[in-house]
Amino acid sequence: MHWSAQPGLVVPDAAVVGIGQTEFSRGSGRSEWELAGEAIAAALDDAGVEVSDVDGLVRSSYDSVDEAAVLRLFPMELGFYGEVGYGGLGAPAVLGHAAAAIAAKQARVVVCYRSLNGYSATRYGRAERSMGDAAAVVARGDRAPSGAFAGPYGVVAPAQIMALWLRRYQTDYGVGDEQLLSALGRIAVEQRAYANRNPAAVMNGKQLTAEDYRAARRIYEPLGLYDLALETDGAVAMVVVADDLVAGRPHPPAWISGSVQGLYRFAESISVYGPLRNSAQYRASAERLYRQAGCSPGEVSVASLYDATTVTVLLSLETWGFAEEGQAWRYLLDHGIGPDSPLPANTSGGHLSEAYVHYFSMMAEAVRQCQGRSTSQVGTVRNVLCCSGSSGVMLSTTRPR
Amino acid sequence: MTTPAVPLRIVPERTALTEPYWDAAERGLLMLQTCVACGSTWHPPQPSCPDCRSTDWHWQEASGRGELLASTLVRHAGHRAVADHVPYVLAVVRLAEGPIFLSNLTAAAGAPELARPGDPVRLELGPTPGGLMLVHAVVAPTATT
Repeated sequence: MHWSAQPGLVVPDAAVVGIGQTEFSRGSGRSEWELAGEAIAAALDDAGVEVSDVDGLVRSSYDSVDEAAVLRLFPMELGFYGEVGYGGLGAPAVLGHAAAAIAAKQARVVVCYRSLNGYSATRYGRAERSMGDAAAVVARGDRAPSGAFAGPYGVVAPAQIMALWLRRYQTDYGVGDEQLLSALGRIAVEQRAYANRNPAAVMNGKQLTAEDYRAARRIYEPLGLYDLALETDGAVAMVVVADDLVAGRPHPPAWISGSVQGLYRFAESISVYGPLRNSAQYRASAERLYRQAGCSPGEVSVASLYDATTVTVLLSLETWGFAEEGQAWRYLLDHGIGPDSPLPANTSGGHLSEAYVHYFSMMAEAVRQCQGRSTSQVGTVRNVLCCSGSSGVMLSTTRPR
Repeated sequence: MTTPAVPLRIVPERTALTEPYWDAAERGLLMLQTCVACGSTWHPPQPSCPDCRSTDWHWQEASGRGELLASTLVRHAGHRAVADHVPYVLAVVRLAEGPIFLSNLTAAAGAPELARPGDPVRLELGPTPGGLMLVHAVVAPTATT
């Protein structure tokens, strides 16, 4: 690894000071444009910031609501805008981009947003998004899940590839089906328990036991119904400001103390050609973030671990240093991710039980943990890790001087 | 009288680079690019050698032999094109030449979902859930059958 900065050398220049979201539902009855407007307005209000203060926008490249569409709704005058690619893999980096723009003095107040009718329109668990629904569907490019080298064989959903990742994990580390499903079941059940304390969660009020998890119908063996992310409608926005604007905001800051956008050959695609996401390159990206933020995995108080399926949570625990390589299944059996575990994770319910807004709802929860506003608030919060595959952002409650 | 619905197929985008690949795939053959400069071979296709970046490569017919790395039984149809084809098996194969290959897995005898990592496979022409005839992995009969 060639990163050589001294740990903790970076003093954050930017903090998330406000969050806003729409209702999360299966059937918003509104356009993604409208949802974005509502979430952004709510975030500005939460941050105590005026529309006229905003001079930067950062979004996912997958969002149908581009910056120009936001400017039809809000009379902002931007000096900076940017987008982050690769969907869920890049999502944490929107905060990194906002922090970088502020550090470079190209913006002072940046809004990050994601708007997704993931149930009533774009369903990521299906392939109509990438392949369309015309008389003959064309699988394009070379990136699974539905690229040219995958679609014709019936690869139509990311979770199919993640089931293959899981099978390789089982072979590489000698983990049987029973043990593995018990470990993954802890994730599903504990995230549903968090959702049951979160009134905004789509699955709030719906119990899930370990027996329910095991009895559910298999979708892509060995994954079953409760291993997969929800498809929901909703929008989330966050407001990031420069350090001298933090004082006087209604809520405490979540300092952006580090950001890494790891990318290497085959990392970008949900595919079978590269090594698993607990391998050396991914761990190096994690180390890069920890050095920037000046903390170790042991100093992370709570985390938002991207859960496209339970598989990515399993792999993240190893990549980001909470379990040894090949041992996260054992870690989950011993500790889980619940409120009394060494690392509570996905405390609003995550993609499995709260909502799927392409990770933005999970970054909002990370901000809430910093601010003391989570429905499953961890006692003393120092650092909150937001991570997805090779990308990550660290949020901190204190700013070193 | 209603016209019977035409089955919806999933066809690969064909580019100038991949035209020879798909021509062969539709005949049950796997073509791999091989670098003249350093001898590397890779999949999926790309314009230059991933190891030495040379653009001096040629297509070579693969042996058709490989080893199963992982497989999953797909029970749920995530696109209407495959609705009539579930369940089917997806497999990751390590080709004898080195690269990784993704395709369906079928079996000459027995259920393909029972194949285990390490089992030998052969690449052959056959029908896919996308409604095409393409090269794909077939579990070799075991010594005990």
